[in-house]
Amino acid sequence: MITQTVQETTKSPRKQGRKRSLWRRNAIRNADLYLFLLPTLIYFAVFHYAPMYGLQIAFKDFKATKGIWGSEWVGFEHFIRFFHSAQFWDILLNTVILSLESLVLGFFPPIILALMLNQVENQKFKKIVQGVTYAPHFISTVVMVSLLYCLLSTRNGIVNRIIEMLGGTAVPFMRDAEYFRGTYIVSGIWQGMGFSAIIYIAALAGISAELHEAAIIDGANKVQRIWHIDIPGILPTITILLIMRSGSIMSVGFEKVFLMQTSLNLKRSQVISTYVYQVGLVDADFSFSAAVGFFNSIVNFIMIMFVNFISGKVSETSLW
Amino acid sequence: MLRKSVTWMLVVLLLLGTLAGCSGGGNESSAQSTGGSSGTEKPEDSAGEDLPENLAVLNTESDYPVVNTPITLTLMGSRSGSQGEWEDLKFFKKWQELTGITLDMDAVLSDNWATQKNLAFASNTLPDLFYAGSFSTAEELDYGDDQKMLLDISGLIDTYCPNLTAVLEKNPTVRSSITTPSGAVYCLPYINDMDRDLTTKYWINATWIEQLGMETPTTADELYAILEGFRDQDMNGNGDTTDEIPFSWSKGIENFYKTTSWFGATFDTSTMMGYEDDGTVFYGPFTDAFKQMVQWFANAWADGLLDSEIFEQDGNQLKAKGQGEELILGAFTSAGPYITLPTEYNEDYIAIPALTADNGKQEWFRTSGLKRGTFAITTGCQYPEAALRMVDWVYGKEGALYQMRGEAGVDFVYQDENEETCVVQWPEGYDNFETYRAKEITPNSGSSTPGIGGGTLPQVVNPLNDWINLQVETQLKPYWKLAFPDVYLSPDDTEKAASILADLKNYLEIAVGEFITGKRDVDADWDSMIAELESMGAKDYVAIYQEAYTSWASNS
Repeated sequence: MITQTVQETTKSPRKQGRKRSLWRRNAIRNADLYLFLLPTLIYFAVFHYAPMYGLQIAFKDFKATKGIWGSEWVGFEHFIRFFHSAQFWDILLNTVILSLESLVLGFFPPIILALMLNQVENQKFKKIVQGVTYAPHFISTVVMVSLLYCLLSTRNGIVNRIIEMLGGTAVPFMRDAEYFRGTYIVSGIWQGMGFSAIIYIAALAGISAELHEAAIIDGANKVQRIWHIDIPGILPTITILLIMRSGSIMSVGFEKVFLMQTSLNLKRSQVISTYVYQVGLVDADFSFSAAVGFFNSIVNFIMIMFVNFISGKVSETSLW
Repeated sequence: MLRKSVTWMLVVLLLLGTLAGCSGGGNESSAQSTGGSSGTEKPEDSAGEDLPENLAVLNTESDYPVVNTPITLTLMGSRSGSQGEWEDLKFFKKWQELTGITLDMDAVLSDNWATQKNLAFASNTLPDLFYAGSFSTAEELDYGDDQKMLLDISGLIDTYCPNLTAVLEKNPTVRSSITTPSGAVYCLPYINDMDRDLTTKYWINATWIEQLGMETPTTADELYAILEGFRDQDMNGNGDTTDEIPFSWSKGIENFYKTTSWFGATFDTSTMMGYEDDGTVFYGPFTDAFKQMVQWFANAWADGLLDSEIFEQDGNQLKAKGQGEELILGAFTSAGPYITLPTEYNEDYIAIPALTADNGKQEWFRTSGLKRGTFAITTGCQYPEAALRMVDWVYGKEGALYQMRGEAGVDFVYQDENEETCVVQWPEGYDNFETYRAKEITPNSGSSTPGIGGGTLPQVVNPLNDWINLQVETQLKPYWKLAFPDVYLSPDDTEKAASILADLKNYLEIAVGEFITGKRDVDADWDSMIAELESMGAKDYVAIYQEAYTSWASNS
């Protein structure tokens, strides 16, 4: 529906003037319907836009005594301090690499799972697999990380026991810096795969059965049908989700990284959000951590604009 | 068009209304806190000449009541959600009844405390007293030295606070820690003098040491030999020589840092600063002792003396090891053996004593036990003398005990004639004493109240804790050294030090971890680590603390 109207307007630019006044008349006539937008607008205004005024402390020397408005302006001092911090490049790289790897490696498994489940004929089996794969999504992060500690313990964790049984030596997954990203990403995939697959499964269900019937009559096998019908069918969904995910490229979840931090993997596990936590809350330097957080959001914003732009050019699917 | 502009006006009004609603709520509550203090508002008109009146109300015949004419003071404090309404708490009732001073209390929930406190200062609607409301040292300097909104009570303490004065005389470092560099005292502290709370204890199984035919360690080398014994022998006698874990703890790099005392340097492991007797301060990692400590643990790691999960396990995982079928922990650190192990093993474990270092020092760190900024009087208060005499109660045995445990004979019962031990009791409907005392007795559970705690008061009977106390008294206390005194940094220095420390801490933690696990070689790479720390501003950091320490030392 939405895409259709969008296409219509772009097709006939000459009609736009008339369309506009029509839209206005429609809007006035259906004012009561538009009223339904109000709660959402108010919600965003109050909880998302209004708090933004606090962002100014990133450019101020915030003193709780003077309040947000009363504190002195210091310009970009906090940003410069962050860029000159000994940890800046480490933290930035850790954040970018960890997010990029999670994005790239974590993006496809749900799609594959959804395509595979879509082919399963036995409905009962399908439901069970779906349930089992998305159950981990509901485990809270704290419990999840505790589970990881138990499963991956070098002393009596089941994973290392299996490795030892197969003749290997125990791997310090949770301790050493070199295993941090792998453990983080793989456990993330395990936890999130089933849940992320739901949206693809729904998209697959929306593909007209006639297309498949026609393909079968034409003699297409299963792989061909997946390749030529299923994947093109869910491609818009995939693109939109990819764009959304790339907007959060710098915002790796704080909780999980923080909980998985040890002295030894700090080299890889100190990311922007944990740094903001340490400096802002533990060391109570609010202005500085606001500046770091703001920097993070700006990078996020640029990323989402960039990917959206590319996607709009390449595949004609974009957020706006 | 008319309709449209009307709509817009409505929208704008609505938004303004929302904003006004937000700020209005805040003002209202702070207005209340002063509005009630009619007792203090009247004399404000003729402030200055009324000095005698401040003193005239005081009862000079006896200690209590503090005042002959009833007065009202407004009080603002931070209340934790677990506490009952302050007006209903036994402690406040008793306090008001005893002193004759009525308290008009504004108990702010601790979540909103910072906001409400700042609002009170920003709008200059201050109460007479802040009780159990935490002030940071930077705030003390700001509100006190700079803005003169908190009253300097340094000249009044000796006259009006006999109990506190006695405590300060007993602990001379406390007085200099509550005196700002300018010589003023704005806030009174909570002083925890319970010895076992002031240090970290490393426990070792004495029975196992005996089994090995060895003695309690006196040096780090001897400790190393004992741990090797734990590793090689079948200490728990289950036929398996490999299941014993010689040394373990739950993750925290500070647990390594703290043991630097064994190698001859004692410093505070959160700021990493220590001091010499000649008044110079030092940054812990720059000492030889620190290098020796890292080398010792690197060897221990390589030789399998440390728990392989020492860097990653949390307290519950350590406890799981302690509570397992077999006793496998040879040495570990936690608040007490019985916290980690089944209680029957409590007395098998002794605290590793202060070891003698290569440089001849035998010391063990202790913290000051001081929580600053728990009580303050504002400059608008008309009766500061009365307020001080009032608060002095909680620095004496009777008041401190009441603030901590409630009423003798009702909430706790003495167990001996000398009133040195007691048992606590609570009515039906409460799970334990802690929830009871929070709901009905005292803000001491959950809030940072002024006063003294622990050490000099009757102890709750608990044989398990008695063992811990005994260990601390005999093995550690004789060798105690205050790790670093509580000093005052100026607000600017606080910020600067925090920003340098954030970098240093992070880098050091990674480096020490790598040295201990053998990823870097201590001999080869140590100097490069020191150079890196220096390039991050370690010297500026030390300079900040040197200045603060010198100022502190000149106060004492």
